Amino acid sequence: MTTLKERTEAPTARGLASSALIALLTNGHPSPEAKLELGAAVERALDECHDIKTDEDLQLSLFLLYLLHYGPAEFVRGEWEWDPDLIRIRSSIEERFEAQLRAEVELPSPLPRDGKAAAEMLFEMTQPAAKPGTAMWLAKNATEDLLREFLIQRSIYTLREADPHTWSIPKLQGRAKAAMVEIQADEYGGGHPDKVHSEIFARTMRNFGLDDTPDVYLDVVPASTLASTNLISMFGLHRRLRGANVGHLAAFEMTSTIPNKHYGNAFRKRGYGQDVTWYFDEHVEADAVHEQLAARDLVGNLVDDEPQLTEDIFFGAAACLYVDGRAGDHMLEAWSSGRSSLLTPEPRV
Amino acid sequence: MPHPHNEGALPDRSVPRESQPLSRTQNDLRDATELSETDASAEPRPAPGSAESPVITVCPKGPLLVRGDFLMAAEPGAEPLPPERKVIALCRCGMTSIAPHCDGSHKLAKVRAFMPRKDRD
Ligand code: FES
Repeated sequence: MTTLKERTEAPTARGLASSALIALLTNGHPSPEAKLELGAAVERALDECHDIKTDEDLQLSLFLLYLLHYGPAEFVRGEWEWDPDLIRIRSSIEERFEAQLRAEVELPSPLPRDGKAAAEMLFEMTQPAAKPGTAMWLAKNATEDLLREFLIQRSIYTLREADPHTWSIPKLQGRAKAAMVEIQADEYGGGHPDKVHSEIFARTMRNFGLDDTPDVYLDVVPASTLASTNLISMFGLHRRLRGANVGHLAAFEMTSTIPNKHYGNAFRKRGYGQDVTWYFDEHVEADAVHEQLAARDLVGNLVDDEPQLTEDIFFGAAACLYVDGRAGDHMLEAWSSGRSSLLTPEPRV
Repeated sequence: MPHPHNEGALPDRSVPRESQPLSRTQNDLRDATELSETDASAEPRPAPGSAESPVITVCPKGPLLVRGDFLMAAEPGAEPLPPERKVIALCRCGMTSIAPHCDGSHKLAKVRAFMPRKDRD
């Protein structure tokens, strides 16, 4: 069965910017002032923002603006996807997001000079994921509530797994394009609807007793989690950032096998069977392949074919590790001190 | 344990998929086995070096990647089956929990496991 559900209710605003945006998107006939109000609210939010990675109002706004490109939820009224004013407002948030990340992430220095060295460098950068803190902690301390929270946190990205990286396929050429298609085709189940990874995850959610409608848990998920999906959407939608998206995909795949093994164990420990753990088990086997393809065939070839993209490839990889690392830290900090990592502790949607 | 919305069972990967129609390769292989005694000129497999012939790539400090047109038998005498995915990674460090496939555990393996014996310490 394929998921064809849509979130029907408008999400809850988290500040003036998201409030103005939701008002605009849900009103079929907005007044001309509504757009001006939104522009002013976003400008003010950016002025007051100290850390955009954890800014609830701006990350939610960015998430909703990207949502227009993935398939608008039912709460959106009207045709907004290519509205020039919304694109301009989105750009102003993206500029800040990118600038802050470029200032905060550390790139390897010197950068690798050829594809082979680039692949080796990526393996080195992602080596810490062989001992993944959050996943190992969860495997040890899993409770029903924590597993539920974990799936809810994951659902924002994973119910559209692979889509934001796929935006880059038409922006690549030759060997790198072929390598990305090879990886993404496997993500999409090699043409079998039941094996599409987002569908396997939806099944995990249903069998755990959760709602598998995309974004249904949006209101309880913190900015740090939205930021990790927004990052890939930003990289994917800009041709200029295709190197960063490739680097992001590589780092993502290369930090997947061992954490997913621990996550699978966390569910097994609580007595869940293959109908819930298949998603994690599948990723152990699939990503052991993908990480080799991503490092060597995708990044390796792209560095050799378009060496000018090397810096961005490593920016994307480092940004993936940094932003996803923060999202993981947020969960681990909350859980290990007995708190919920969600905005509202009792998610019963 | 709560399983409120339990759904149908997963395909059991351990059961040989005899009910499925044979792939072209399997048919070719059967033909080849039957023919090989009588007709040595039969060409059941892609020619070596063609786009389809299997290629094994040895990944440094990692698995063997196998891609192309190939079948794999789970054990000697077992029916050779097409792989679950187009490219597979076979463990060569011995640490995997999903043998014969690689599960990424080689990242925790000592480098010497991947070296020819003469180069080990
Ligand atoms: S080669 Fe990857 S787990 Fe052994």
